Amino acid sequence: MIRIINSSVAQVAQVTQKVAWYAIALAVVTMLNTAAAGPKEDLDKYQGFFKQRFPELDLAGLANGMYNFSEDKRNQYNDIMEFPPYDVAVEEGKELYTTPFKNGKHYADCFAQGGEGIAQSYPKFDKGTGKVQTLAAAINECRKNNGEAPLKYLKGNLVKIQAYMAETSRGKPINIQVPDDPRAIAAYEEGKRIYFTRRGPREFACYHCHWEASGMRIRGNELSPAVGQAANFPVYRSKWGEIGSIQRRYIGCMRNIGAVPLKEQTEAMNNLEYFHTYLSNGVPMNAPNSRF
Amino acid sequence: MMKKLQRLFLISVVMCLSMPVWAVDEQQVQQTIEAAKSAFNKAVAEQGGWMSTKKLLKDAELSAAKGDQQKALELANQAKHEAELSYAQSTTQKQKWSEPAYLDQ
Repeated sequence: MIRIINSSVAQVAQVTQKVAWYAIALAVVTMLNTAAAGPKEDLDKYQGFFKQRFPELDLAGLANGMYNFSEDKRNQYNDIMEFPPYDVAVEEGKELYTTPFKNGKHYADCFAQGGEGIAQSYPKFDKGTGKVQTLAAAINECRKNNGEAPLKYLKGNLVKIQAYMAETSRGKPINIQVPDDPRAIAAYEEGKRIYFTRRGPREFACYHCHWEASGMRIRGNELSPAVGQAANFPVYRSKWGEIGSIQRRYIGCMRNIGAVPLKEQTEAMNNLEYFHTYLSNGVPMNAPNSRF
Repeated sequence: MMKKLQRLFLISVVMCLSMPVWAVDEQQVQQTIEAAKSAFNKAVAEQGGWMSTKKLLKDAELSAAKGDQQKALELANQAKHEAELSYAQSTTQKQKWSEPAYLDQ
């Protein structure tokens, strides 16, 4: 009788041990799966959402934003583009870009490929500082390194220089890199958090308008999908009557939802631009562009 | 003598009723405005803050400058309340933000 009891206890112990091993193996697999979810997996998921929502639009089509959803506005845009309103800014930007600094050096000396065809890779993670650098900040850093005063970030000459640089990248697919560096991942993750954070008294986050309500209207405006937006900046907005930067647009968006906007070129704002531009990876640059 | 006392009592009551304009202390208003500003800055430092609070603060200061202390106090209290709500929103969101659930469907 005692033998039978002992053998049953041993069998139960064996089964318990097996169950414990399976549980541990399952936990490890789950952890590995969680750890594998990074920027690349995010991108597949995020762009997949828009492909499913707008199956008739490819990545380049998504970048046409609100003009996909209103024939009338699309026609107005086509009319405007017969004489693109940003052309003057591009010309002025080119002149500013090619004019030497007081020390005889040029902007081209600060950038790879003389600064031509590189705008699609900004914002960039800078291994030296461990932070994200926007193209606007790189331009000002170039000025500083050559003994020139920094320019204002949101509009004016700096944005005109950006417009010229973006023009040399037209057609190139956006290619934002998030290297396998914990600081880069942290910057990406902070940008993502800010993007999905509810702000202002109405508790709106960026995604409320540009994901689930994309293609729908808010008052008189059709809402553009998040993927593709960044491919158009800097942009000439009829509302502004001039060319402006993407961070100027973020500030306007945040104000629209009643939130105090983040300040331009702060770490938080740059990380937001990093994440938001990364969403458009693969979308051909169509900047500068024109918007209402 | 009784009539005189009655008149005196009535006059006192009327005077008391016409006094609420002086009831709000100017110092109390300034303290409330400062407290509201401080709460607002705290929210902004956490990437929060609402634009409407900025306007309330401005209007409170304007009312105080015009001498309408009662209105200034009301506006400052409202601004402080909003600033506290926006601070709570920004700190909570830092912990509880999430992607929309439909992305995983």
